[in-house]
Amino acid sequence: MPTATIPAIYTRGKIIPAAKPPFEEPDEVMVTFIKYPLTAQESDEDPDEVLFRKIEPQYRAVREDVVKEMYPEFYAKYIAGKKENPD
Amino acid sequence: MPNTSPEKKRILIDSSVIIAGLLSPSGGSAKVLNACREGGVFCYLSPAIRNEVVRNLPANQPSLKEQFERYASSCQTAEVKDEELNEFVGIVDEKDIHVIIAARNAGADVIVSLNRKHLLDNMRIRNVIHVRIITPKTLIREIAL
Repeated sequence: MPTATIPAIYTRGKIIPAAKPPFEEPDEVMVTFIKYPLTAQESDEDPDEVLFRKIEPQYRAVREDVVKEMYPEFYAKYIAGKKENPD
Repeated sequence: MPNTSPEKKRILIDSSVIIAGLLSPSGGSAKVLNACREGGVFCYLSPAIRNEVVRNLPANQPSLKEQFERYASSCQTAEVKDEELNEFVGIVDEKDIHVIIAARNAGADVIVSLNRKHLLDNMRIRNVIHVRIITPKTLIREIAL
């Protein structure tokens, strides 16, 4: 008995095939719902570290601005120069 | 050298921890901020770290800034001069050197940070300065907050 498994999307109670079904008129269609367990990293991670990673890009930009304003000589010598000549 | 008693840890709190503590009042970072306010540890901030915190807080939540000011008033200040920053070039990302110098100038035992990429996981820092860099979670465990 030929069978085939194809991916599908389940949204708002409807199942939508994400690939072309291999049979035009299947005799029967079975649906399998899968729930993956949380990875160790997701479940054990410190929520504060997760929060920090979300704001990190903006945080780094602010840190650079603060160094530029408060330590202008250092910034000009080591950070601005590095941006102009990244190698 | 600042006035401290030997039994209390001297900690420099990175802005990452202060921001997380203000945004998430139930987390470990908030617990560390409370310990500072209650005098359980000696806390230090640098002017640059204060500046970073203020700029990162959402403008539409002025109460967070007020909370930060109350917290900051319980901290001592660790100054950092422009010329001191040259010392750690090549060891620490240039943008983070001021945190290391502030900790050293404060005579801090530890830096508490959430910045894994640039501070917590930087093994080279350990070879040049005797200040440990730990997460709020580790500090809480070590001093039983």
